[in-house]
Amino acid sequence: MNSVLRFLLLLLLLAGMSMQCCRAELSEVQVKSAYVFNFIKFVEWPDKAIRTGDKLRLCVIGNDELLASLTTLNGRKVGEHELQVVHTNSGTVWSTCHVLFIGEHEQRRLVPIIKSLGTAPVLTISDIPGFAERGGDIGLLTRNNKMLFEVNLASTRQAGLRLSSQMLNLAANIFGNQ
Amino acid sequence: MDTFSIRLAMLAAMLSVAPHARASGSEETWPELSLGDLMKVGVESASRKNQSVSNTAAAVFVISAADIRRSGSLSIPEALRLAPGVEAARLSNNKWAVSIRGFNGLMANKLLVLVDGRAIYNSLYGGVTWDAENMPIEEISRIEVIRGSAGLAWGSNAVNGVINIITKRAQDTAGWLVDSHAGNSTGKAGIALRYGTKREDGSALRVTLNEQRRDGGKELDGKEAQDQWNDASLSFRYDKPDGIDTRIFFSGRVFDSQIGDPWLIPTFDSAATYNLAQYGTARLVPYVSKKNGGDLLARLEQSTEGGGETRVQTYFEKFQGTIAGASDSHTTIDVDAQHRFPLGDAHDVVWGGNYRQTRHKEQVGTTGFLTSSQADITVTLASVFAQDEWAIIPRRFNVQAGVRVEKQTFGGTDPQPSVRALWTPNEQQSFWLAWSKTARSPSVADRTMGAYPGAIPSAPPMLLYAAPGEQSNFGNEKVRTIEAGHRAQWTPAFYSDLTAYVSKYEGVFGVLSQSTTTNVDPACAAALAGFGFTGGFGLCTTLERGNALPVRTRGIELSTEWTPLSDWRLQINASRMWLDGGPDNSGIVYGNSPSYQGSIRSSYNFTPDRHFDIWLRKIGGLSNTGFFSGSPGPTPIQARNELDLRFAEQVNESLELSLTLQNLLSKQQLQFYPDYSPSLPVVPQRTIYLKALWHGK
Repeated sequence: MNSVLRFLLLLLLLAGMSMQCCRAELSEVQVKSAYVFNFIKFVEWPDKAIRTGDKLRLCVIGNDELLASLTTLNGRKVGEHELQVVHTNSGTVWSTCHVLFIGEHEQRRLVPIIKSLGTAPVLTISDIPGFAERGGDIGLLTRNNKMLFEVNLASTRQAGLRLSSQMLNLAANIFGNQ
Repeated sequence: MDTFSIRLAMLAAMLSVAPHARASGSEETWPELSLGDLMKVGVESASRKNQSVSNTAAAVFVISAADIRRSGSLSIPEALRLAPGVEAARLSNNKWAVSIRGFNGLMANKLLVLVDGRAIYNSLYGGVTWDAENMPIEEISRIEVIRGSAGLAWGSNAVNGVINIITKRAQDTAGWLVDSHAGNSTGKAGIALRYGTKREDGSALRVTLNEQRRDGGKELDGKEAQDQWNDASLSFRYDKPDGIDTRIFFSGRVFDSQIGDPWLIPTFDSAATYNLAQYGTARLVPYVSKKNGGDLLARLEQSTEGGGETRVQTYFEKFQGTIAGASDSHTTIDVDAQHRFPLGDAHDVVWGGNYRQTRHKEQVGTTGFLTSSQADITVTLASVFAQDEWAIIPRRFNVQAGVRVEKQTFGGTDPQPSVRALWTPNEQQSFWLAWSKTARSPSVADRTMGAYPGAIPSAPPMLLYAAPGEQSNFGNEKVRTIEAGHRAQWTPAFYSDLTAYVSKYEGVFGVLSQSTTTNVDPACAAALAGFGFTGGFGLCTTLERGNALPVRTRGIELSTEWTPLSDWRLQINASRMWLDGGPDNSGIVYGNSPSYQGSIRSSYNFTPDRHFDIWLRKIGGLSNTGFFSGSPGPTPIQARNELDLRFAEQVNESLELSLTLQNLLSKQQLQFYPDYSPSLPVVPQRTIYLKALWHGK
């Protein structure tokens, strides 16, 4: 057991000595927030969904930490519109949001939520596995410790949304492209 | 501790609390990052896997692909040790005894194991033949380990838990992959070759060829054991999401596996060179067992207009195994359908059914060790279930209740109900409580097969026979379980998951009574002669087996995750179990599981490309002295410490090289004694292997 203890102490020592300089460290929540902010920049809503002067409503359910992180963006300009981060409650009608992020705590209600949106022009984003395959617009996934995104074009088409080709080129997977 | 160690400890403590240089301003500048930048940022997926189980009112632990890779595991049983409460004892270099919450054995039958929805257990005895289920380890996306009785969701056989092995989507394995390793012992040599393609319509296909070789280990007295293992498999997976409502999935596999399986055959005469203590004498026969087969799985999932989902799945499986002239061959067809739909605002209903039919053809071979009353048997399993989840307070408190009713050829119709409650006061923690009942139906071997476990050369000599369960009309085993758990993300760096349980088992398969006849009975005389005794007065003792004594288990299981530094992650697991139930007449049922287990796994990144993992495990001893002690006098299995190390370097974007050392603290000791099987227990050796993992485009 003594030799094992030495192993562990050596590790502790090495931990203290490691060089950790100069790498940007982002938490998972920050990466997801940055992704959401970027997606909004690359998506075009139909004219009837958002007119000049309207605020772009971003709703988050099922992930309080992400909601808190995105709230720091409240009031920022995205293109011509000002971003409004909406604190949803049971009374919120999701089709009044322009962007809806569905977090893992709402995993059970995923399909009912997507179905209830119908053809409403709402950009749905989630980190729930298989989201894009099940009718979500943009899904976040982790592969080899990197966060990537995949898109379902049949869903975005149904909502009347247009994604820039710049963004589609970076997508890890594209579904619904028949 | 000596002064050197004390000084080392102090130096380490000082340096480890020193502040580390961090790129400043990262908290404020993340909105400025572009999509291209974001795709390059390293993200540890630990917290997301914890979040995905936080809504479950059950004892679940998710083993991620990263955990599996960094643990250096080359097979599924090795990887399962990453979860708390899972017992995985190595019987030889090709045999494992894996169970959860007790009742471990080579033929452990209280665990349901699935790969992508297909049950991988051998329906002959209701356990997993791990040497026929090897798969390329890089293909696994995650392993969900659900501890406790899970009959409602998964059917019978899920008495003590479910292990759900989920492979990566074909979309996520595009391009070439070569995973090769070379070393000694269980890491002797292996190569997995995989190619995946993605198509314009979003569908994807991958094909993998996997081949592995393992050397034999050593017997207790140091002799080389003939327990080598060679296997090869070819598998594919096809995923096609169609539009927004439909998902199609196909997978298939063919395999061929050959193991050395030396058997200790009871013998009275001079050929007996092994002393099995209270189970007499035996001779060793170095059999080779060959297994091959394949399976095909198809699944269709659809979202419905009302916000529901339907899932239909079917699979076909064919298996053939031979050893010592005995053979076990079976074909299985299984159909499963489920429908999930929301009811009002607060209810989520799932209901469905399953039908499975397995045709067995068994031949007991020429050793005389096994008997079988029926060569051809068809076993049918049919079940229906329904379950509702009621969100009484949305996102805060929900209750889940349901029942499954199942009928299998040999068992009665015992309903398997379950009631669960989950309280989530905030997103950081949850409490849950569950009560459930599960049944296990008798397997073909339980009902129709017997074995001769001992030829005892006493005066007079005695032959032991374990009779098949049908003689006492062996029916379902039943278990009722109460569990409670708590999960909390205390700080962003510390997570804990604690479960406590009490399980009451009824009718566990064991010895009911014994009866003895002498060689005056011609059947007894013939049996004695078959094992080498022809000299006159001898005894035959028959162990009647069936639904035996009740058993109660209680325990706690803890898993924690601590990230003291951003580059250093620790997973600390522990479990303790108390088993109450008198010894049955064979001593086997109650003594096969350790009363405690613990593990500490340290994952450290010197740089994002240079990884160092240490995995220390401590497993309590077993009180069972076994059918086959392998040495003079019954000796219980001792407690053991296990230590694995892994160094890995991501050389460039495509290639990772790693060196893994396993079982460094091994003393020359056994980990397990076989139960009713005559396999020779082998001492696991230290293993060292080098691996190269290459991804192409």
